[in-house]
Amino acid sequence: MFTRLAPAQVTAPTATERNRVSRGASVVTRVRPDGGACQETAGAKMNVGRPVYTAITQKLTRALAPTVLNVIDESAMHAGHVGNPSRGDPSAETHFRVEIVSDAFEGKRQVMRHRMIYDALSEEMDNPIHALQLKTKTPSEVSSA
Amino acid sequence: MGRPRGRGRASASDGATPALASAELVVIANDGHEDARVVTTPGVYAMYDAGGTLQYVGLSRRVRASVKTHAFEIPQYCHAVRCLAMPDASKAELQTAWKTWVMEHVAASGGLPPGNAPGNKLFSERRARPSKACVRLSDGKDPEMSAEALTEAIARCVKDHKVVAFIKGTREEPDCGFSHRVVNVLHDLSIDFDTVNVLDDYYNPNLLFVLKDFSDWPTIPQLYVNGEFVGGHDIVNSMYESGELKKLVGAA
Repeated sequence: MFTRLAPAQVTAPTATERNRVSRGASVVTRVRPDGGACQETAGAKMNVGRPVYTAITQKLTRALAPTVLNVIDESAMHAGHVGNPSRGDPSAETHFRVEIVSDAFEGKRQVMRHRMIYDALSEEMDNPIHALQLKTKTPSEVSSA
Repeated sequence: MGRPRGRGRASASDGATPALASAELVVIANDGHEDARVVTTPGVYAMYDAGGTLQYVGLSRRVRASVKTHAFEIPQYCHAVRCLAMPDASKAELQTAWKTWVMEHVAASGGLPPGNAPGNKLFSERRARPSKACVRLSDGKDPEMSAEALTEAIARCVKDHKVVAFIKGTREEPDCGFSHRVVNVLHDLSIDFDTVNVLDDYYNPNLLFVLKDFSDWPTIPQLYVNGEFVGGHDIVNSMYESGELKKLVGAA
């Protein structure tokens, strides 16, 4: 469920929220009081050892200025799967689910929205991302839901 | 005596079925049915949806094949599975183990798993689906088919076939969970559609790479309707759930 954060709701991540930055958890990008997305998310700062996760978060933030960005690393759930290029490497980052809300999607069909994301992550899509699931909405779509 | 944690295994001699909860939960969403932890032997298995709710307890002579079939036909109920390998079991022993797992769930939840409820044929019913050969983009005589020639072949294919999905594998045996789901969706719509196997290097050499340039889309599967690119797995699924896809293909 998408929930748009009003400026008044913007808060620094609590210790509990920071502790959620782990494989399988998600990080919500916070919006600055002036409405702009932060250049670095709490997730990015907490994920020095997670280069793909960090890159996804940073690149999508820069490219799309999202009001909500959930990046969920599901790699561990697919670690043993045949065909998974990680070959069981527990540190591999290969499967992600991204949920994103951005004004940049306004007036655009889903195909174009997904292409915008793929363009931003073209380097990671070549390697090592094996699967990327996307859910995109505009703030107005979230409000009307 | 403790049993190794992980894949459940029962033998006729010990007379006891390992508890349902002791079997390892293996995520099978998107290709996971081929996970080595999903046993290929006879045994009992328990299917869970994405919310962690037990949907069905089944028994099978080939557990992995059964799990794959369920995952293919009703993916919304098959996010994860627990398996109990019983390679030497008789039919009676399989039934005993199955009953043990079902009753364990009943004791814990107060009711049968939904898929095991009387009258619910969601898991037990085998859906008849039409078989249809994949479209081939070449005659297989030119393994070095140029990107230009292949691009032209793709363009002809999407023009000549009203509904065509480029998938990994065939519609009978998709090799990818995402392709599974798109084929499943198209079957559910009860429409005539075609598929192209991007992994068939004999008849579709290098298609996997050329197609991504053709559509400006980096992933497989890809769906085309009336010559237009519709989207990949996520978009097709979303359109199916909203009813938009039915309207689109109905107009095809």
